[in-house]
Amino acid sequence: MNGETGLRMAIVGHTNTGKTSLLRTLTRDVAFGEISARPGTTRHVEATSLMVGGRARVDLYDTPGLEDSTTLLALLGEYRERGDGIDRIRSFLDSAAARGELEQEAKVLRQVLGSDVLLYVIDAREPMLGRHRDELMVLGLAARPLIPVLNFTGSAESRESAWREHLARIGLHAVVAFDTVLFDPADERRLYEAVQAMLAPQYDLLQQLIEEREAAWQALRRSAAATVADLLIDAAGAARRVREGNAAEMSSASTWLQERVREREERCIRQLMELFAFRSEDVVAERLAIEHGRWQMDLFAPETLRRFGLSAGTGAVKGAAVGAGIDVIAGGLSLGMAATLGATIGALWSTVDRFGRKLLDRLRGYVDLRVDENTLRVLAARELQLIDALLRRGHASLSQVELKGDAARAPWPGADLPAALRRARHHPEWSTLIARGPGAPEAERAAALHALQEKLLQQLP
Amino acid sequence: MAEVSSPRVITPFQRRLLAEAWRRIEETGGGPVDTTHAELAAVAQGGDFETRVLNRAQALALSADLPRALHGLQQAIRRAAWTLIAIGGVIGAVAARSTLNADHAGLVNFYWVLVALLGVHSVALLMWFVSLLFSFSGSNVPPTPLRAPFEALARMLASAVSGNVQRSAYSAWMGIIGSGVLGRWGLSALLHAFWLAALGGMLAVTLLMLSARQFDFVWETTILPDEGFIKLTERLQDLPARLGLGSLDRETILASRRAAERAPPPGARRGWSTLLIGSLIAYGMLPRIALLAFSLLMLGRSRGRYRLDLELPGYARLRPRLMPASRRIGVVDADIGAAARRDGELRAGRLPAARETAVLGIEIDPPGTGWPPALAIGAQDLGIAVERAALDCALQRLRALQDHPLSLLVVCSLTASPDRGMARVLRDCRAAHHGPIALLLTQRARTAVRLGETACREREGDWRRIAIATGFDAAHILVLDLDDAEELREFLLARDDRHGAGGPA
Repeated sequence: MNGETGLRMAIVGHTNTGKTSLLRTLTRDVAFGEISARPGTTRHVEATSLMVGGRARVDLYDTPGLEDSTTLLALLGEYRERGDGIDRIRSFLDSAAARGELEQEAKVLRQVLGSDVLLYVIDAREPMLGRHRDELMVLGLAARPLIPVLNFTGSAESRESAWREHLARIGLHAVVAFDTVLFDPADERRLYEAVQAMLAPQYDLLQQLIEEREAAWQALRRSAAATVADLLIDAAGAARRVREGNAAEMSSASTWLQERVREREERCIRQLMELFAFRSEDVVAERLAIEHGRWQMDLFAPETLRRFGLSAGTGAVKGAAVGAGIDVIAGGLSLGMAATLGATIGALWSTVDRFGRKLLDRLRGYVDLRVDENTLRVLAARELQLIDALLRRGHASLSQVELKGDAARAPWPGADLPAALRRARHHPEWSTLIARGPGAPEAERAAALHALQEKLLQQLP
Repeated sequence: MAEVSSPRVITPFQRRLLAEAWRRIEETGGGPVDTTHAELAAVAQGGDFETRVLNRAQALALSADLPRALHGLQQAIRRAAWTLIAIGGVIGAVAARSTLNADHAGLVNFYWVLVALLGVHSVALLMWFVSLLFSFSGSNVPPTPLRAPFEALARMLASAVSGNVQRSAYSAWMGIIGSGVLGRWGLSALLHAFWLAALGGMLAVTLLMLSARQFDFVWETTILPDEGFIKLTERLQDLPARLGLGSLDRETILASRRAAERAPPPGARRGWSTLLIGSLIAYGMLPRIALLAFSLLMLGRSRGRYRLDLELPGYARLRPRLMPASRRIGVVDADIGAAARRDGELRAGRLPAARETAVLGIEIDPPGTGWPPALAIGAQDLGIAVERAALDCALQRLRALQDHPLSLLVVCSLTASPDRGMARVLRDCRAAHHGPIALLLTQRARTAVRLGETACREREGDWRRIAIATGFDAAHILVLDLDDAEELREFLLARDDRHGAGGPA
């Protein structure tokens, strides 16, 4: 199908070991095939292709589970006089049994003969049983390079070391651990490297695949961090000017601001889900208490702050007067700086204009209402937690995943917010939550966004 | 890739601008809901991620008439820039007209005129240079003076923009052109063009006035030494002289000092006029032309280098769709007789009544409560079979016991799949034993943890189905966790109660 340079891999194994799960994770295709905990869910051979250099170069075949390998092995034993293992398999495929009771096994073997390499998926929680040996013996007859892949190694019940020992005793040493529930890109790399070691002619193709996957993974991490940085800059800059002491005005502005930030957070969650090609009704969301794309625990609830180890002493929207005060001081600073540096009249004018207006507003009794610092920390913490879960989760996991929900801590504990975020607080024109004037300075916002992105990346695995 | 309906050939930079504008439209909730078609087309066209984003945006933006909006906007901005330049020309002309005025004696102070014509320009040039240094240092602490005219222009144009598409196009244009490296060089070019026009206006009016009127240029000083002025004039003349625009000699300069008793020599008029024109060109227009060319060059370069910021959420979210890791091929070996399956009924099971029970474990770990399980009274332990050979051996022993009144208890784990291989094992057990037979499914708690409650219930149903299909009595299938001592005790208590109640009757 792929001409001379393609590579065909068949995923084989006993039923319910996670063959389709492995495929979903390798292909990043959350909707591939059908997965359930029942045997024989996959009853046909379904194929998909990994893209390398923008072309479909590595074909993967999802096969039905080998269910009755004992009978199969006995049957193949009867063809002993027909020649070598491959001949015996061919004889079996021509037999009546291959169209009857052992139809699924025949499908698997047909695919095995048409593949360059076999990935034999094992549920590492199970002990090694006779049927496993039988399966491996049947597959051994096909004389294809075979790589045992241990699934569910992240489980507490995993018997990974026992499996490795058993497999080594029957001559299978290139064993790869690949948990389709708790995804680790290093496992994926090791899997491809194992194939690489066995198939020298395809070394370059697999190397390219490994590199592209690595680049895509990094791009994913970076984009996720940028998505959160975008949210934080929007939330940090959002301000509403109100008359100090006017309780009605303050409370309505506060409600307005809170609602905007909540909506913005929902948008961020949607973006992250989309980025990771997960559906928002996904298990991850459920585990993290996200419902209908919104965290169940309200952003501004004091309980939320406490959960992330932040004090909930003050209101969620505040710091207005202080903020304005700092602005005036900062304005004075840059004013002086601009003057001493001999900067231009224009610069002086806009500084005076901007901060002068602020000072005037301050004198008139206006204050800027903003989201307070702890809320920004909670926003960062929650979204980082979500990214963490998304990064670690395979595309397959159907079963429940234990996520360390309570271990979360707000980032930058005991320290100031990152400089880029503090700067964003003084740039309401960077925030998309409030109406922006024409020609809002994109490059400046982008610079702050990327600076913040780097800070967030440090918090990610 | 030039579209027939687009107003003109689209450059790579304009394509990026288009994508930026389209991102804004999508972020504000505009654009079609279904973008699948454009995305599939972009994937089919191939290329790197940015190329695909650009192709997608172009396909989608075309239907929203965005290219036309963008083109119209660019025209408007170009018109505005030309207007600004024209205003510059007029300002220059007016400045020159009001500067070139002879006093009552018909004399004009040359240096006064020169400073009036070139002074503001020189200061503005210095300002531009300083702000350029600022923008290079990466900080934008003091907003640059370039921004002020730009923002005025932006505000002026913004009032003329209406409609979501137009506004997004405008916001994208201003956001990109007005900030960062592009903004620096774009605004610089505009500024230099403005000044060039002003200087051009000055030059034109000066030439006109020098042609049509008569000025006697003089210089004067009260406290400075004359020699200084002569030196200064000679230095000043150096550069214009290279252009052939300076011919004043020492005597003429000296003779042009303002004096009450005599007018400057008539030959000096031409010399001073030439120097004035030469200075305007050499110190005014030429630097501006050079800087304009430089700024345009840098603008062109930075446009060529401009790339979409693909890490922004608006673009990054497209990555899974535009750069798929895989492509489905489909079913290559179909399941012809797809059997319809249904959920089995769940019923509580019990052990068949018998004096003696033989116990056989299939592919299980020894249970936490010990082996053989305590519930089998007078148990004959057939062991736990984990491979075919062990099973065959156990079944052999079972056959040997067939003359005893014996019931068989087969113990399996719910964690195992009830597949056809397992069905065969159960069938073999059934075949090897003629007495009552029961199936005990253990490790339900562990299975529930592993699979979730729903899937666990499904699995239980599947186990019951294959057991019944292989000849087990539905009443003799029971689910009991042998790892759980408490559960086992309760089961035994309940059974003994039943026995106790039924016994004396």
